[in-house]
Amino acid sequence: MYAGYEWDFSWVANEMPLFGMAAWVSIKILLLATVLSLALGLCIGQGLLSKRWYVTAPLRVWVDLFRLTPPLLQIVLIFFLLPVVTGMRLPAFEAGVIALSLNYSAFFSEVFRAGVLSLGRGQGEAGAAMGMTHLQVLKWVIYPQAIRRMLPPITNMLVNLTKDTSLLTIIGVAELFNVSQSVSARNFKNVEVLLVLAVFYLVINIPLSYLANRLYARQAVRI
Amino acid sequence: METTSVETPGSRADAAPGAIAIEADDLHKHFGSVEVLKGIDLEITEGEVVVIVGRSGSGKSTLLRCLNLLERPTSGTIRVLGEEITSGRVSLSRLRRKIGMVFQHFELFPHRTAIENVMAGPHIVLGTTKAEARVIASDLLDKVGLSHRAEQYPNQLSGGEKQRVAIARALALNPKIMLFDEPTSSLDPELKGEVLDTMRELAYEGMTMVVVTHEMIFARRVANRAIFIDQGVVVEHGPPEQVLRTPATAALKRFLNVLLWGEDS
Repeated sequence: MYAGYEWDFSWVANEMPLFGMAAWVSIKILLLATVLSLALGLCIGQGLLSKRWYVTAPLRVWVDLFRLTPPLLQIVLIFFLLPVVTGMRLPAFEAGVIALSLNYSAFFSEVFRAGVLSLGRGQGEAGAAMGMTHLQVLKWVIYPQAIRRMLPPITNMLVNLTKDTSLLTIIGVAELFNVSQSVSARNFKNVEVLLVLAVFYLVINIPLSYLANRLYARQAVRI
Repeated sequence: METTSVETPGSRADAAPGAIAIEADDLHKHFGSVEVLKGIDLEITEGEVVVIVGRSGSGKSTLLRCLNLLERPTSGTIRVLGEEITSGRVSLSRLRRKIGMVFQHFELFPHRTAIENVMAGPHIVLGTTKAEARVIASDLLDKVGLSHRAEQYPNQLSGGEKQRVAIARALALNPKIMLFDEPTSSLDPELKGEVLDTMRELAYEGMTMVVVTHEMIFARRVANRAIFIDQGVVVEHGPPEQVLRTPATAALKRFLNVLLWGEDS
């Protein structure tokens, strides 16, 4: 290691309350975006399974729009463009959560769609042939089975979402990454601050990633 | 045990009151540019057992699936128990409560036990309480001889047991008509018998049954009528003994030959 650099973590204790608050903001983003993107992804995924082209075609375009452009771009656009177009100004936090939710719902919709398709037609037909309504078939037959196949990819996506909360720094949301920049600026300890920052993300994501691996392994055994 | 003499279609004539259960008129079904059904007429009276035979791809399964609207006919009309189902807004749920269906690959719900599978109809579809549904379901499992397997999951059951649970599940809605789509085709030969026995009992109780099958012995002993479908049209129909023993057309002769000897002659 380069001997001339003197490591200094003496600032950590002072800045901990600030980091703690920022971590809470990051976790709030994560939780809200998780709930919103899963709910929206479920609806879009169900829509993508429709037999009617005028339902699937616009959803396909919508999903690809969010799937195939950088999330950073979407965040900036929603924060800066929405007020220009609609005249409605969203606070940075809300705008960021919405942007991440839309982005992740596009990916989740594919997960839900694929999970339902992986069951094949027979199960749904068996339920329908008994007189179940479409909703009863979904609730009683399809989703209880499909959810097992969906959980591993969903958990994996949530690991990514944790990391992507840092993107909201670009519109000034006081989440972990953003706050770490101010802390750096105040203490002139850029490298140390980034290392501490890494620890925060790891603390959130190591359990999530472990859970994802567990779910994948369990599924491998089942098949 | 029922009598061991060969059951002729006439022996069940008293079971049929004569009311029409299913009436299909000029049914056509297209899948894209392919016409699978090319004008099928069909009349099935209550209590009748009709077998539909034909090569794979002949349209026989499609015809069966039109009868409970799992497939929508492209044109033509179907009346079930006096009600036209092909026009206007028909409640699919209400229609399908009257028509049970058994599939080639069983399609039991793998995340539910045998008895829960049978309870699904009464509990989910008819809205009975769980306790009531359980009573209905255990009676039916008893009827198909599987009371002792009630708490097993489908993957713990043999193929024959799965299919008998599937029959019980369909019966739990107390249907007037039962459709069977190759119910023994995915079973090992030694497991077919138990399923066919269950179906025969059902036939003797007077259930209206439409059975797509390759089981010629079942067709000849149990069915009142056999229908041979080839390339989307009814080629021959009549009493099974006559149709299946003395086929009139080359197509049916060839089909029966393939069935018996496994080869084209």
